[in-house]
Amino acid sequence: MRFKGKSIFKGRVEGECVVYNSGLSFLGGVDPTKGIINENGKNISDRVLSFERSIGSTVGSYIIYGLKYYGNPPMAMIVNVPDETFITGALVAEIPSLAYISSYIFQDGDIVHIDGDYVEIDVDLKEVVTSILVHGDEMLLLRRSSRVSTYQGKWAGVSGYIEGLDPQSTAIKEIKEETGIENPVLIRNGGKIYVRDGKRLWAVHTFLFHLKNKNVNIDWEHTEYKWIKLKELKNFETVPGLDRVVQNLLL
Amino acid sequence: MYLDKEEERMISGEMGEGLKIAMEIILKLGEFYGAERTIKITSSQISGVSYRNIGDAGIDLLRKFRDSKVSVKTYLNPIAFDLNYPHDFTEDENFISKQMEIVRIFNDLGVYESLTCTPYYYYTPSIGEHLAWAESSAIVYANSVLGARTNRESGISALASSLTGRTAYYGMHMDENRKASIFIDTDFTPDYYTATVLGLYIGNMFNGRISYFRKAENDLDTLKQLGAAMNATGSTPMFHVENITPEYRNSIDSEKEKIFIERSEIEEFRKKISSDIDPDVLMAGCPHLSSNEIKKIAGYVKNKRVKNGKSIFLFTSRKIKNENSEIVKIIENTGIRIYTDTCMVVSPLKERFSSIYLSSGKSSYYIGKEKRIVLADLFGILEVMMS
Repeated sequence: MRFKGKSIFKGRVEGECVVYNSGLSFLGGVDPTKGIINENGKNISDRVLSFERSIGSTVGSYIIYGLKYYGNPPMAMIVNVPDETFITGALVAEIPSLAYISSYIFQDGDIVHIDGDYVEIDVDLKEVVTSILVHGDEMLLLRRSSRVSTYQGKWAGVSGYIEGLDPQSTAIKEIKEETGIENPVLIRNGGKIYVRDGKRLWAVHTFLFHLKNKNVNIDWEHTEYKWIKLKELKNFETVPGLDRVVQNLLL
Repeated sequence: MYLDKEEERMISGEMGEGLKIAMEIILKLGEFYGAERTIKITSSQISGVSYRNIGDAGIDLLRKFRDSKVSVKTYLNPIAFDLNYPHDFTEDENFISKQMEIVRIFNDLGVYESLTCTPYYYYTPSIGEHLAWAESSAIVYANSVLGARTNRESGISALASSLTGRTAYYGMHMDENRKASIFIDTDFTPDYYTATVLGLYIGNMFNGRISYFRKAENDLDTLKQLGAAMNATGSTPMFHVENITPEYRNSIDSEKEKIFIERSEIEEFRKKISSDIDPDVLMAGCPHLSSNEIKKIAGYVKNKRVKNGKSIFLFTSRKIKNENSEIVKIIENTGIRIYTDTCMVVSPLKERFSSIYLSSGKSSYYIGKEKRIVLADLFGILEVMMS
């Protein structure tokens, strides 16, 4: 699967990925003399570093240059949201780097091919929708039945594959099928987030809908439903990435 | 991005290797953020001057620019010690000599020892002036309080702008990116002390966003504290205060997110980050003290003495210390030390103490990661530590 980003310093490399799914401050966050991420000790030297956003001190450029100077440069760097500090650091260190590709696409150990604006990895991409339905300060969780193809028994939002329709129409169709509700009120289109699960990569289009009442009629795809408070979500065994879908829509 | 003739010559390398790298950095940032052209700047301020932070790699990188000279008023961030009293801070001769080497490299580029996070006390830009500043608290002060315009430059991009005299025209240089997206009202008027706590609290809540405050005391040092704290926890480039800051008019529309903060709420927040202890040392001057702050402190401590077993260190810039030499004498006669060129965050001075009194939100945020701190009103702390 090939993803297009925007190159900061062009290069063509192939290497093993190290993922940091968070904001990374190079000053304090990375030890250039050892080539490691301080928080978890992961080695980034001679690897492809993928992280979510560059944050923190404007001195960070020197640290990126330091990785090269001390002989521990990453082979390449992929960041979703860069800042001036990262861009100048990558340029002066001449480390192939690109932006606007989410770190959630990757997992540690992926073999990643980088060529200019493009990144290629071996994953099976599926486009799906997940809608979170809310009423007051409660959200609806559905438990997936044994007759669906994935994540049986796990708790989820209202979801389904995108086939033919656009994402928003798919979301509305799935809500009608899975809960019997017509004309839900769209509050937010949260855009697309990635959820990685082994070789499978879910591109999840996220939507937040408001319901006028709590009457739900589930179909064969689910065995039960619950209205829960946001903070209770962590007590449920959910499909992977549901916490991020909720965070993306509600925070 | 459009480049003029001089910029073309810089990037071709015919004006030297330093200018070539510098112009490449500006071009790349411009392309990245969708700038159509560059804009001339009047001043630059460079972070990444401390040997503790940039190390030998930093020295190596800075040397790449050695065939060029800065073309605008350029200032440097603080270093790890006071140039006049390095041994008050460290015994490590190698460290001192490496730090001095960095200062010399900058001297050769035409930058002299301002070594302060408050370049605006050296040169106060006018409303609408374009800058390339890298110190986070100075960025927010320039944009918010002075109405000048700067992006959040990296140490290296600020140096690139300093050498070329330009920055790419995007972000905070453009009117449309200087609007607020959160309206903040309070049941108190933030003053010198409460503003610093409020800043930490707001920054933490609204990372990167521009806030509009319904009220704050009309005092430059209060606004300095508010912005510095907000930027420490939230990387915000700017804020507005109704009736006070130069661009508050039309900076927010009524549709935006509104929040109301009570005095008790920020006091609760302060208690979470501040310990209930009585440290032996106070460190104040983050950001570096203004003339006005020094005068207020002098007025308060005159004819008092620092209590036995207690220490008080203040930090300011060389210029402010020199301009206030008589007042500095009054303060130092009480046993308080005033250092320049450095501060409690970037110097190793704090290592000698297990806990510290601090009066600024920004220093509490950084030092609080390593040590127990008490964040409190400066004059309240002085009251406890002096007799």
